[in-house]
Amino acid sequence: MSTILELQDLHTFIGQYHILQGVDLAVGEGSVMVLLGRNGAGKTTTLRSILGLWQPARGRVVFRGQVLNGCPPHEIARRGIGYVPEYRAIFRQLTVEENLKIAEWRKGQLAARKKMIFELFPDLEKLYYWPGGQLSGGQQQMLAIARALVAENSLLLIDEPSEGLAPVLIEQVMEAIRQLRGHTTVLLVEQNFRVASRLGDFYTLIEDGRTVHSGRMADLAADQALVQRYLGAA
Amino acid sequence: MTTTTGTIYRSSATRRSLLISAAFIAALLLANLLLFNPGQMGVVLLSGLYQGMLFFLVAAGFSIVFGLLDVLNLAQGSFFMLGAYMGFFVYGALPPGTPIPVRFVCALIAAAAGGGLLGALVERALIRPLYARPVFQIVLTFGLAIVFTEIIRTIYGPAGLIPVQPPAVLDTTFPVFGARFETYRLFIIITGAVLMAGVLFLLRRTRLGIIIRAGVQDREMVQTLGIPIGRIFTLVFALGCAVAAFGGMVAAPYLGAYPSMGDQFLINTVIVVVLGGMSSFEGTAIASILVGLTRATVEQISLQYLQTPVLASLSILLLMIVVLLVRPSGLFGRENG
Repeated sequence: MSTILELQDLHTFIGQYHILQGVDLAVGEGSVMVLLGRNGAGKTTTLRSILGLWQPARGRVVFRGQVLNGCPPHEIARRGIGYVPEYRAIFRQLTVEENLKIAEWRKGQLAARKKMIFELFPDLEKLYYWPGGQLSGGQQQMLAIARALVAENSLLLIDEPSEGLAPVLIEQVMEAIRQLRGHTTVLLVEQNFRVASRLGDFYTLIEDGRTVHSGRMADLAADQALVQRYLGAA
Repeated sequence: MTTTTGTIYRSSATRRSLLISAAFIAALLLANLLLFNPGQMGVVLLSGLYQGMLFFLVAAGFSIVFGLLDVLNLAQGSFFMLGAYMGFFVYGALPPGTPIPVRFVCALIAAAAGGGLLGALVERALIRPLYARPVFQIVLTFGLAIVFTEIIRTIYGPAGLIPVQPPAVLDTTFPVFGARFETYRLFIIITGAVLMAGVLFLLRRTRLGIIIRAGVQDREMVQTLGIPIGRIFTLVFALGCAVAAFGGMVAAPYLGAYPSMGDQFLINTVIVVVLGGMSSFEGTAIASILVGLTRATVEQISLQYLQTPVLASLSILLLMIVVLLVRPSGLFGRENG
């Protein structure tokens, strides 16, 4: 499996705070990699550093062999990285159609992907002309993922998709992410270990802004002591 | 609420806003019906629309720029004034013998283009470094307004310029229920309405409009969708300035051009934008008409019964207070701010 994204000794500051203090990570093409860690470990900062929303002070972000450091966020997005932020960040005033259209930075992208998107998320076809703000939490999550799929991204960064959702909706979202296999590579941030272990092929564990472990998800799920130590969950 | 594919969803908040706006406009129409004869009523309503469109031409850019960029552009009124002067300059600079309609159209184009270019320059050179400093932006744009006014005062003097002659077809009057109304003011109403429809079309039916509406909510997310938000900011700022400058030249054959015209319009613009709900273009459009009609109606009442127009300016402030009591975030403002 070839590596699509690699983070090498990534350091990021937010103001005076040294949040990432050496994150290393490699995501294989076509896989689902889960970034794990406790609250405040630096998971979201890692995603935002990849996207150029916070520029790393040190280290490298390498995507498909090209260094992304210093690139503005829109250029990074156009290289094929889609983002599904925590709490969705769908545009509440725009309709579902407009939420998808805005992600089309090259003409014809939405038309080409519409069928696939509606197969993955049939609800969105029915709600095509509804404002995003009127959708349920689960539907908004589907829309946020669908939006990231419009531009034929080869890597999706998905931040806490189960956050704030009822258990039944978490199942729906998990199913949607599971169906992304074969369409794109996923780097997933997930606090809920039960969800993470069912979705991920690989994991990277970070603590206090540093990578402390990585490997196959199946191995981690079998190592309860490690899970307890770093995540406090079994 | 509807789930039917193809049907545009309209939220209950929007319906309520439309109802409140319709109630205010209906009250004004009723006051006109009860207090004035048909001729007066016709002239008052047209005057109201005329004033409303002038406010709209300045407020449209102000509202969109605030919504997307979070910048309170206090120099917006100055672009209205600069548009008038740029138009006058081009109108007068064309070779002798150039027909008046050609001069007029060239002046309009020059005003819009000049306003847009200057706006783009101001955004790139001065506003952009201050996006993270809102207080600095206010001081900067306020300072720019003073600088622009003083430059014009230095070049053209404090007295202002006599209105240029519009094309003959617009330089007449027409009957309104026995009274007469200037065709040029009707032209301003039509121009304002066309621009209103144009901007609405841009916001609702084009990709740029979708980006602007999305950017108003979440700029960062827009960037992560591959959209260079910096360029969109420049474009929107320039567009807002171009519309104001165009408005200045459209108004100039009727109002003339004088250094303080921007300041006068800015105060009313701020009232219009607050009334409509900050960053709501639809709110700004409706509030412009509402303010114009209120002002014209109260002006007529004031002149007719008190022989002084002093209540006209006060009426707008009173209208703002009443609306804000009913809807604290403005007619079409979001409740959560």
